[in-house]
Amino acid sequence: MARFIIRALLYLVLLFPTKIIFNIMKNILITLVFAFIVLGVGFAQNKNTQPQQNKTDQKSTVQKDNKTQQQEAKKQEEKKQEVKKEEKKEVKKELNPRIENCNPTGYVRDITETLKSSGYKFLRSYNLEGPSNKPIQHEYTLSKGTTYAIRIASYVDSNLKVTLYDPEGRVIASTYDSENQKFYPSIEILCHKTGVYKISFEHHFNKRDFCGGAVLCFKR
Amino acid sequence: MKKVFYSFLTISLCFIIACDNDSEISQVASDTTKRVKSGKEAIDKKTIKEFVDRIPSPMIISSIIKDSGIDYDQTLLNSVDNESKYVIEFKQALNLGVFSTDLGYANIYEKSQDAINLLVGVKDMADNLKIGQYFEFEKIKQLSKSKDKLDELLQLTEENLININNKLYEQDRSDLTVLIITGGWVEVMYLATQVVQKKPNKDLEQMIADQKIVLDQIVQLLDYYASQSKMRDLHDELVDLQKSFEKIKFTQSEGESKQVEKEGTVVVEQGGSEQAEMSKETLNEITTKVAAIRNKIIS
Repeated sequence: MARFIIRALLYLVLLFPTKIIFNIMKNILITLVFAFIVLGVGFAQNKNTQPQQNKTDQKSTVQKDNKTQQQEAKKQEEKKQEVKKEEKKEVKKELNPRIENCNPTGYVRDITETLKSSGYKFLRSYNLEGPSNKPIQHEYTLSKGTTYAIRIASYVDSNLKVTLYDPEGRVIASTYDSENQKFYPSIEILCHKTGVYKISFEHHFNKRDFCGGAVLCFKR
Repeated sequence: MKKVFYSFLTISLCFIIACDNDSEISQVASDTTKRVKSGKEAIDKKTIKEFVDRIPSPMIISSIIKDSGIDYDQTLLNSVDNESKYVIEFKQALNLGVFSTDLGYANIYEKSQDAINLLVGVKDMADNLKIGQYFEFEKIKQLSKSKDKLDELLQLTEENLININNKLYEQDRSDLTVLIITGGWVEVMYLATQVVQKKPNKDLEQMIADQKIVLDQIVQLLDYYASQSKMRDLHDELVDLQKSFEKIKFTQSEGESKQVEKEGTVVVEQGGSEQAEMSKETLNEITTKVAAIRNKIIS
């Protein structure tokens, strides 16, 4: 191959005078330099003029692009927020799982069936259902000289606590024994003072939904 | 041009909203002023239900009457024959309360025939008030016939009345609930005062005196509806009764409450107590006033 090129060059030197060869080379060089200059300027012009054109001629299309970008960004943010919310919900669910198809009247019925044997008469029932983020509270006017009982029933591991407040707002009884860490199913009180008493129901440890019933009853 | 238009629109909207809020604020302010001037604890629509829930069942007083060894007295009850007189909702609601209390009284004494008659009165009043569908008439009637199902009967009657009150509250007819409660309370006070006049009983007298708290609550409830003339008249009569109750002296002793565990139950030993001192004159005065209010209700 090398031999072939050398031979070709020798033929050129022999066939054409060196001046002609020099002129040809010179013209080639000039055209190359010119071409480079033209291409370079064109490239530079392209680079500088394109954003200006975008700003002026294609203003609407840029705005559209920006809007779509913003919308996409918003959508992404919304998606992120939704994901976060769902995550939070899942955490809440874990802390406070819902109890489906709760039947508080069933619990109330179970309690009232036990009243007759203990000599108590039914007075009022309380359905305990719904989220347990705050206690369920009721008030009732208790009369002096009457014995009252508050009986509760709930699902097995509910740790449902009843607190009784006197008319002055002082806690006078709780079904949770903190010393022995024990829950009792009822409170009895022989009322010595007629007044409005508050009964509060809450879950002591877990935050699952309320699902149970309570009955206020009396005997003389 | 568009900018000018939107600016004008925004300013106009702001102006309209501001004016609207001003009128609401002035309304609330005037209501508050009225309440402050009247010097009474404010009850609003939301707290009515809480107040109603606090009112004790007339059943307790009926039980004391029976436990006192006092015989059943049918003549004290309102006659079902009177029900044709009750043509307006005001009277129907009051007498629904009256018949309900009488029904409880008859049930406690296990007087099934009277109970069934009274049950008709309760049903008719409830039907007239368009709440009869919430009263389990047939079931209660069956329970009234069997003496061994007294507990179930009392529970069902009580639950039905609570249900009726809840429905009325949902229907924004809480004024009727207040009237049912008032009628029931006046009737049981009538029974108690009449019985104690015939056969003095310390427990019953103490119970009558303690009803001052309940009377105060009922007056507060009626006060909320005082703009209605009939409600206002009833309110004023009970305010007059309050004056007699104010003559009762209450002495309190302080003491700490404690709780003990007995057979798996928390038993409260309440510290402190309250003793009522009511003179014979005051009892007579209360008896007379209660009878006058009650007779006006049932007539």
